[in-house]
Amino acid sequence: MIRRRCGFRQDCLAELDMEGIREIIAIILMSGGFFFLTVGVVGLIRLPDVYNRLHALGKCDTMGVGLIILGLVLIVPGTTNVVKLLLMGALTVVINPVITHIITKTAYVRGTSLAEGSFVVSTYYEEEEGDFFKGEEGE
Amino acid sequence: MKGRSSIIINRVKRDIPGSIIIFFLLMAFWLLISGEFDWQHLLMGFILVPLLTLFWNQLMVNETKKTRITWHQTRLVIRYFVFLIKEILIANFIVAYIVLSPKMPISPGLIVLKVDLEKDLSRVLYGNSITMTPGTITVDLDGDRLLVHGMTRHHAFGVRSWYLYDIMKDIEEGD
Repeated sequence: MIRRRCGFRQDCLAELDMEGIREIIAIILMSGGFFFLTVGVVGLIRLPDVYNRLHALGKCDTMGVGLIILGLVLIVPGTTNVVKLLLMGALTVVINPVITHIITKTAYVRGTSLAEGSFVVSTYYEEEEGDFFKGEEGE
Repeated sequence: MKGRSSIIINRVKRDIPGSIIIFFLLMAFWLLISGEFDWQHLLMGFILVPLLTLFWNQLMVNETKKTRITWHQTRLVIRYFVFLIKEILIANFIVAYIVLSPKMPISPGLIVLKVDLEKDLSRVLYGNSITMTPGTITVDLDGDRLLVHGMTRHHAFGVRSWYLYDIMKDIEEGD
């Protein structure tokens, strides 16, 4: 624990034992996690279409949950809980991109329209035709 | 009924190293989850883990297509994951910047690419890597045709010459 009663700065540093340093690191990590989760939700509200919203959610949620789990690993007692938390983190990292991909593909197959001003470009036949930069603007 | 059980036992016999590895993995997982090392937990593990190993053999062991990993490939995979973590960190800050800036500098769009990955595992890894890294999402991967949605034009075209793809190609070919 960080004790409040120290007067000078030097005393404060002396009182910061390993537990205190660990808690501070955990707090920093978890604050980062909350920041990225907030960014994900803000992106969900602000961005124009399904695909762009999934950019915000798919990336920021993975990072946010990962950081919060890392922070919890530092302060939780016992190996069992640490193993369970790490397992949850691994599952999140694996599942999140897959779910993002499934939602995007479903939206694409259903023909959900892109946001205004989007481009659609194909570079698949790049070698044969030489010029890859042929595509139409807008949708 | 008798024939079925003999099939399972034959599979275990045919792939003894795989069964032993699965046994030890499950045992270590069980001991870590239970968190105690007294005789009751050990006994429970020694009863249940072999049963699970039998079922896993029925699911997993495939005699024809076995994944072989060389030492060279292991080093490449580790390198791949180090770069991937770096890219994920960059991706999050880019998305945070785009979302929080007042003007929202996006120019979204779809791009079709050609990829030459053959193994299922590397295809899944590469698709997920694209989803996790800056400004791009895998929409579809059908055959060698990869459909990517990019948040900005710059990021979408960045997938065309991406260094993680080269590492992934090396992993597939390397022996």
